Amino acid sequence: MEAGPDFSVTRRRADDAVVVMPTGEIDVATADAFEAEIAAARTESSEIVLDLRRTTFMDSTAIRLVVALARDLGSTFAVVRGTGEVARLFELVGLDGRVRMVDTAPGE
Amino acid sequence: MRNPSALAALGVALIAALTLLPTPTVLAAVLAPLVIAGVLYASAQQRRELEAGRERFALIRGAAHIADADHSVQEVIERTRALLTPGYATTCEIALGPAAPPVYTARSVTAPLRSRGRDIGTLRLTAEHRVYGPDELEFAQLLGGRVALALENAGLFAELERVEAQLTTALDSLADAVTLQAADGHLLYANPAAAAMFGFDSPEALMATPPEQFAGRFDTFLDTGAPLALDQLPGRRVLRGETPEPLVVRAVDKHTGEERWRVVKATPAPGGLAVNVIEDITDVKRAEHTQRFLAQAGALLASSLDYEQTLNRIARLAVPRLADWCNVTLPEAGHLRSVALVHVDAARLDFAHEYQRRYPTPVTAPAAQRLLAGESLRVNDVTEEQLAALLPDPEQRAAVTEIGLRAFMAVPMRGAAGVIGAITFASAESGRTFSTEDLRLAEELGRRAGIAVENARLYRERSQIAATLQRGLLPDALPHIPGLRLSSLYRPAGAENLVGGDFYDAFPTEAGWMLLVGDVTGRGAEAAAQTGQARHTLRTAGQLLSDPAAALHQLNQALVDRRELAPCTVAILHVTARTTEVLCAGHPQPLLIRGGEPRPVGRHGPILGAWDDARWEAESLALEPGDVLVLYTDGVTDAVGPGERFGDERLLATLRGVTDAAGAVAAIDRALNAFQEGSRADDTAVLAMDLPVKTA
Repeated sequence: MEAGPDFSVTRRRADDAVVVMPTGEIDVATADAFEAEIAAARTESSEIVLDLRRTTFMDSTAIRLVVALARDLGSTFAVVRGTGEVARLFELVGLDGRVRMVDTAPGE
Repeated sequence: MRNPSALAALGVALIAALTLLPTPTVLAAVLAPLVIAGVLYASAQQRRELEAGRERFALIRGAAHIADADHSVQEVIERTRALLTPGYATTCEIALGPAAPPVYTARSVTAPLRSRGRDIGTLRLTAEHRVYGPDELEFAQLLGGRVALALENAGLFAELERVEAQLTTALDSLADAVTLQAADGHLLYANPAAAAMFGFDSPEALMATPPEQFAGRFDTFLDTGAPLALDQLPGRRVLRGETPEPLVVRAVDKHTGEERWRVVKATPAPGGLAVNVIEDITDVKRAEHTQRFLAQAGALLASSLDYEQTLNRIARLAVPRLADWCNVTLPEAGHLRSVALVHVDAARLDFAHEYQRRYPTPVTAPAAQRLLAGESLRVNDVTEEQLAALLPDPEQRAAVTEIGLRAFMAVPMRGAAGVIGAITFASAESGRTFSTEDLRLAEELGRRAGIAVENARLYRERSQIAATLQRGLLPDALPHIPGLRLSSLYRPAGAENLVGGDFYDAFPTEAGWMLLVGDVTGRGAEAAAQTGQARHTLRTAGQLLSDPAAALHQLNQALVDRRELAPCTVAILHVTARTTEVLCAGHPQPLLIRGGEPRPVGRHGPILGAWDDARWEAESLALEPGDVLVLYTDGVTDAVGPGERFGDERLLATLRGVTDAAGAVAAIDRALNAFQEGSRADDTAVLAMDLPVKTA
C-alpha cells in the first residue's frame, strides 16, 4: 500500500481556532507532513481543532503528536471524532475522555 | 535634330548614359566617334555647341577616371580641381558636407554633390574668362554626380581599408586560431593564435613550416579516442571539395605532455582555399570531464559503505583518464598503507604491489608529512633531484626510474576532522603531465573520497552503537521460567536500519514473573535511548514493587515530568501460580489462545507520559494448561501488505489453532513475511508464553 501519495493535510482558520484536517493515513511515511502542519497551526493559534473524519489510519507516531497537543493545550484542543481504526486507537490509548471530542468542526 | 538645344541635350544624355555604364572607357571609345560623327552633320551654326559637347565629354570622362581609381578624398578633390581649372572654370571649390541647391549665373555655377541619394557636398565654379550658358547648370549637375561618386568611392575605399585593418586586428587578437590554407595544404595566412597553438613564436614561422611537420608535434586523437589522420582534418576535406562537420580533437603535445582539446572548423574560400578556425575548448572539455568524473566518483562513493571497495573503484575511475597509476593510501601503524592500487597496464600491477610492499611510505617521510598536513604535491617532468628529495632510498629511486615516472601528483583525503589519507596519481607510459586543473580535480576527488571514507567509518561506528543500543532494548536471553515456556520475535524497522522504539522483557518478581512489551512513540536514536530507559524503569519498579500498575505509574511519572520525552505504550502480564494479571497502557490488548481460539484480554488504559493522574486497572485471568498468551506491538497489525494493513482480524486468523508460544511466534513471523511489502516501516516485537499441558 502506498501510504504516502494518498495522504494530504489541510489547515484553515475558523474564528479563533485553526482546524487541521488530515486526509488518508498518518504513519511513518506521512507523519512528518502532519507534524509540520501541526507546528504551523500552533504558531497561528493556541486553539486547535484536529478534524479526523477523513483520517483512515494513525500509528503511534501520530498518537505521540496528538498526546503532545492534548498535554500542552488542554481544553483549547479538540478532536472531531474519527471512525473505525482511528476511533479504536483513541480508545486504546485512552485519549477518549481526556481530550475534548466533538462531532463537527467550527464554522460548519 | 534641328534644335541646337535639343542636340546639346542629346549630347549630354549620351555622355551621361555612357559614363553611367560599368565600363565607360571601353564603350566610350566605341560610341564617342558615333556621337562625334552625328554631331558633324550639324550646321556650322551648331559647331560651337559641338565644341562645348566635346569639352564636356572630356570633363566627364576625366571625372569618371578619377572615380574609377583608388584615390583618397583629398586626391579626388585635387584631381577634380586640376581637371576643371583653368580651362572650364577659373576657380573650383569642392565643399564637403551639405549639398547646396543648383544655382546658375553667367559667371558661376553651383551644383550639389549627390551620390545614390546621399549628400556629399557642393561644387562651386566661377569663370572670369568665359560666360556660362543656360545649359551649363545641367552639365554642372551631371559633373557634380561624377565627382560625388568619386568622392564616395574614395570614402568607401578608405572605409574598406579601415575594415581590412580592423579585420586584421580582429584576427590577430582573436583567441581562436585562424589559418588560410592553399590547395597543397601549406598555409597562406595564420593569425598569432594559430602560431601560439602550434608552438611557434610568430605566424610567419608557422607559415614557413610544412603542415606535416607541425602536426607531428602532437599525438592527435578523435573524440572517440582513435588516432586522427591528417587527411581527416576539415581543412584537407574542404580542399578535396567536401563539406566537413566541425571536428573535435584531443592533441597531446609529445614534448610537454600537455593535453588540449580543439574544435576544428573549415570553410572554402574563393580561389580553392580553405579557411580553418580552430577553437581551443580545453577548458570546456575539462569542465565537462571534471563534472562527469566527479559525478561518477560521487555515485561510486555513495554506492557502498565498504570504503576500501569504494576507494578501489575510484582508483579505477582515475585510470587511465587522469593518470597511469592511482594509489590510495591510509595511515596505519606508522605507514601509508595502500588500500587501492590501480595501474593502466594490469600486467604491471604486480610490480606496483611489489613496490608498495617493498617501499611502504613511512608517515614520517617528507612527502607523507606534507600530505598529512593537508598539502598537495604536483611534480611534472620529475628530475633526479626532485626524486632524491622525496625518496631518500636509492634503491627505491631506481625502481621509480624503472617505472619511467614522468609526473605525479598527490592529494590529501580530507575528512571533517582533518586528513585521513592520500591519493597519488602518476604518469609514466602516457607521458602526460598534470595541469593545475588536473590538480584541482584530484584535490576535489580527495575531498569527496575523504568525506565518503569518514561517513563509512561513522556508519560502521553508528551501526555498532545501534547494535549495542539494540541489545539494551531486549533481554540478553529469555529467562527460564519453571512451568512456563517463552518465545519472542523482534523485527527491527528496515531501510535505514535505525533502532526503534519497541522493546520486550521478562523478569521475576516476589510474586511471580512479569512479561511485557512496549513501544516508545518516537523513532531513531532518541527513541532507542528512551526505550532502554523505559524498559529498565519498568524492570526496576516491577521487581521492587511486585505490582505492574505501580510500575506503570512509576514510568508514567518519569515521562510526564520530562515533557521532551515521547509517550510510551506498554502491555504487562504479571504471572503468578495459576493466574495472570493483564494491564494495558495505551497498548494493543494481549491475545489469549485457549483451545486454539485467540481472543483479546485486559482493559484499555491510558498511554504513558500523557497525564499525571492516569491509573491502570488489571484484569485478572485464571490460567489453564495449554493456554498461550501473546503480547505484541502495533508493528504486527500496522504492517503494510498488498492494498491494506495486516490488521487485527488477520492476526487472529494467524493464531487460530496455535498450541504453544513457539508456534505463535513462528506463525506471526511467517504470516508477516508472506504479507509485508517493501521495507519494514516500524519495529515489530512479539513475546509469547504458554503453560504446557503436563503429560503424565
